[in-house]
Amino acid sequence: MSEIVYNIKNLKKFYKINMGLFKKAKIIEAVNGISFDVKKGEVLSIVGESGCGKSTTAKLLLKIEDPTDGQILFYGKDITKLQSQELKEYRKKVQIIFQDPYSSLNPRWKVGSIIGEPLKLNTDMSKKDIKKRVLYLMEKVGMHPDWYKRYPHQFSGGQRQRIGIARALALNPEVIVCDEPVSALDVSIQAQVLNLLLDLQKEFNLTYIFISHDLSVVEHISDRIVVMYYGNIVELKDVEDLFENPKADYTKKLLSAIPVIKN
Amino acid sequence: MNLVEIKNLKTYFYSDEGVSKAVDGISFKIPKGKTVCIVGESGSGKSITSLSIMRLIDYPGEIVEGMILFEGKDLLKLNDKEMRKIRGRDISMIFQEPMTSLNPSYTIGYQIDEALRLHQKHLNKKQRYEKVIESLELVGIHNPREKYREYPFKLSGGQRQRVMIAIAMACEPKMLIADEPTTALDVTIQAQVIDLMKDLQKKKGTSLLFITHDLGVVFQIADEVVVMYKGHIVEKASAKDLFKDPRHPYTKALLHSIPIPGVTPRKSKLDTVDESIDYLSFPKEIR
Repeated sequence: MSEIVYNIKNLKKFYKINMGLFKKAKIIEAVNGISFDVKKGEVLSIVGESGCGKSTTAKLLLKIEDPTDGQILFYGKDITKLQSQELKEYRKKVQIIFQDPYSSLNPRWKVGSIIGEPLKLNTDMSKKDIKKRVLYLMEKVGMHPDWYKRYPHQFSGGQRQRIGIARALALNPEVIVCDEPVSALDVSIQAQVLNLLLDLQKEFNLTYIFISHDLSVVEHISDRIVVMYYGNIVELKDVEDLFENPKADYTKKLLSAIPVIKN
Repeated sequence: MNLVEIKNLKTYFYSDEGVSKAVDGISFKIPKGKTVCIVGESGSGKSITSLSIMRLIDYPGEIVEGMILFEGKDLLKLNDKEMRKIRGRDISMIFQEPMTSLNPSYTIGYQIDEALRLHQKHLNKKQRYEKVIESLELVGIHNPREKYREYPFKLSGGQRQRVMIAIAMACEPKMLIADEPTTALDVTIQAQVIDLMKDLQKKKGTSLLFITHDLGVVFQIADEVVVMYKGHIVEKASAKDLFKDPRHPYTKALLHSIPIPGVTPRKSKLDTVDESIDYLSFPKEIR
């Protein structure tokens, strides 16, 4: 049996929304008591509609947000309780690739600096070593070394996403959270990025937590799938099982809504 | 019978760096009551084609050549006043972003009413009100009398897109142009909106020009498909033929680049559109 990376227990995140001075605050249950495991080397996808809590779950795993209740055990250690140094170590091991390759890269920075930034902040590598590593990463994601000195605006969406992927890989992470990494891309570019993600996973033995609303992409890339609906998990299964034999009504509805090409 | 016939349309954009030929000599027809889909990647000229039909191309762009025959009349020869009469009444358009294409400071009812005020001057206030309610019902909005007085921020994305469709359909146009109307929506909502558009088409006999990059949606909705690449049409065929027997290498690459559940082996390498190939060098496949 493969090793468990994450063990998530009864995770909750509530947001309080003030409705006005004299009204009672409203509580939004973005994530309402979810539990699941993430195994090493797998692709676990979280699917659901907007507002179902999939992005909030990602934020909790990355510790961008703190949970209202529950535990997130990373190799048995509760990350919600981590303090400064330990937290820094944790953040090196878990990286993210964002949805929008246009707004997630600093337009004033050159590609080399963008990919090298995590190395500059988290390691004591020399400038020369950082450059070497950045060039290596660029080669891995299929970018030409001459592009080191270019700015993000000189690239297309697919190329920018490659920059984001190289940056996520810089610190040799164990887990990469991919938050809708291909939904802003054209179909043909989407295929390139999916191919790249699968290649990199094999090569670096990565674990992906893949967040998406596109079920055909999810079916292609995942090992297991978590279906979320209004802050709860409605179904968690192996990909084959889920597509062939969906149990929950909501999953059935979701599957029947995908526009599929049949021949 | 063809409602619209586009002949050798060329729309160019001029800048200091030279001419960008966004649409470079395309011809196709839109039959009455049928759905034509334009597919292509970003930059293929599919949106510019739809904006050209509506004559909404602005400086530095220009329609340099061609004809857009609407019921036999060339839209490119009309003056601005005549064109304004056609927009919204005979041809109307839905845009991709339901979040930004409604005016946040007017009620929904007011915005649907606007189309009627401009184009159906023989109706009085009360008749228009009833018509707005009717069109809200038609697009499946519950409690239309209540929703009439609400502002767009209170509605979800799917509901806003329904309101956009209601505005576009208010004057019962002969043709509806939908530029990626479902791209910003969730799959379940997307399915509802597509069903709604098909349904309206059946009821009213509207021709539909549907622009999308999602081939799954094309499969569901199209009668005819036009595949665009770098401003040109590379393949044109009925939806049935196109999916069964894609002929142009670009169409094939596009079709193979999307994983199909149950067909594409899981985690296999997907085909991609090869950027080093100039797909325009292959003969066009027009059926």
